[in-house]
Amino acid sequence: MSQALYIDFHTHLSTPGPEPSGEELAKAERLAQTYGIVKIVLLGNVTAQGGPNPTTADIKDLNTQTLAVMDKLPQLFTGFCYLNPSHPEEFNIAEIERCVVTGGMKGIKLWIAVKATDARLDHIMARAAEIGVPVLHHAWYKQTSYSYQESNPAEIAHLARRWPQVTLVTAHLSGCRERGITDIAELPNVYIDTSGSQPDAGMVEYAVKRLGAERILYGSDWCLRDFGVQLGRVQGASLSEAERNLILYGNAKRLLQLDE
Amino acid sequence: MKSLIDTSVFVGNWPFQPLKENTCATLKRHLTSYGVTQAWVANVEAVLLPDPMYGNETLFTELPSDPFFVPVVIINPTLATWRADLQYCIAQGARAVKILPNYHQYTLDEPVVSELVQAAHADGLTLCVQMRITDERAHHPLMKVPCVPAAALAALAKQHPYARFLACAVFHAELPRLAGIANVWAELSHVESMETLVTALQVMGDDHLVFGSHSPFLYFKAVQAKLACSPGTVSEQTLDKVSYANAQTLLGSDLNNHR
Repeated sequence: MSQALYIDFHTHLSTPGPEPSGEELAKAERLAQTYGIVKIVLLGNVTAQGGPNPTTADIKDLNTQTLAVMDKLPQLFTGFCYLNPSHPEEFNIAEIERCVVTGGMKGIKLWIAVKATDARLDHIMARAAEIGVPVLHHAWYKQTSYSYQESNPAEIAHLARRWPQVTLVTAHLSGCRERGITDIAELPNVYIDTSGSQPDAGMVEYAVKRLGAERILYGSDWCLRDFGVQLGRVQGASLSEAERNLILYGNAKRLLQLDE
Repeated sequence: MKSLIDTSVFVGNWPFQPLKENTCATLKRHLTSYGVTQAWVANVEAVLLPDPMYGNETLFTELPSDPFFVPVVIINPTLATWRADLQYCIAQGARAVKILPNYHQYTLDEPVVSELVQAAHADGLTLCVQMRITDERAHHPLMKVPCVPAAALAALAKQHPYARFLACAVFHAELPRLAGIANVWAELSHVESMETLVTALQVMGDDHLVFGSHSPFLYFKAVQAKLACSPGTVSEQTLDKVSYANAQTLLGSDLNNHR
């Protein structure tokens, strides 16, 4: 369907436990091939196990599964180490060691267990700074109720100001929307991924205007969303080819430190 | 794919999102560039203006006299004049009626809605129920409008099995409520899953899904991607049904005779 190369910076699988589902991996592989996606960043199956505040056992299971997926399909998948900052520092640091330093994951994923403004993130951010990996943090501005300790983009900005030496990726462009984009606009260490909600027309162009294409990453939120729809949000935006290529491939390649 | 019928597009301004292709001329140019052969259009300004006829009148004034656009009028049955307004719109060429119970603050179980269903059906018009305009999470903080419950539409459709209903901007998770009801169709603009069309077909079957882009609110290319399935997953015959044949059934035949 497409010969272009794309990197998807925001995906999950839906299978709980430490073992990936062969059927689900086959589907991901088939669909990635259909749409020209050559690398997928797996952020842990956050909705499949552990809920908003996963235990240490849940975290270990989910990260073990991500490592197993990376082992089975190393060309297609890389992963981020999913952590709950409320767990003891020793556990989180050991998990970073197991998954990132030894296991080859490319970053750290934080979801909604703890607010981004919470000082319990500090040991994780400090370690991310030491080893030079990005931290992807969920964010959303909601007019409905927030989930558990869900952060908004202003809280991500607070974290980014405290840790300017760490590259942060704010998840969910269409969840953050204009206000969220302005929150992070003046913080050069903060990127945003294009996933989230419906593909609202104009939002990608707005983000490029405020942030520059260099700080935007294509992400689908598959398997909750559709690769093709989420790619179409970037492909359908009024951008230069250079801007589009940065968003769909170049920026992710740089952040993930992928070889040619 | 021989044709592509887009069952849900808008012209006009919306105060919460700058819309780029929002005139008949720019929207037609935009849609045809993606292969759309017919578009069912309403004026979105009719949603928030105190009388939707402001928007409907503008639509009829600006609509070019070509069969590309199928005029859809927005009716608010809580206004005392809705019956006369509907007849006026039909005389002007309206082919479907769109209602927004959430924005116009009534529920689908009110008797006046049944009266509207009957009136629309009497003239062969499909009733399009706009479940939402945008994701509720992203509403303006001073204007939070809940969605139309899918169960309420299902109940209304069962109460009027002779009438045709189209659920516009329905979410994937809401489809099971509408599945198996012979007189309910759903358009795809807000339906999304890991493999949208494949899973939506599993829920609704291939006779009750139609293409809708919700343009110009959404990137057309993103919504159109739902029709571009991976090889071998959806037959050409089914794609034709979703792309245009079901919409033709829903609208009724002899379209060109009405304008």
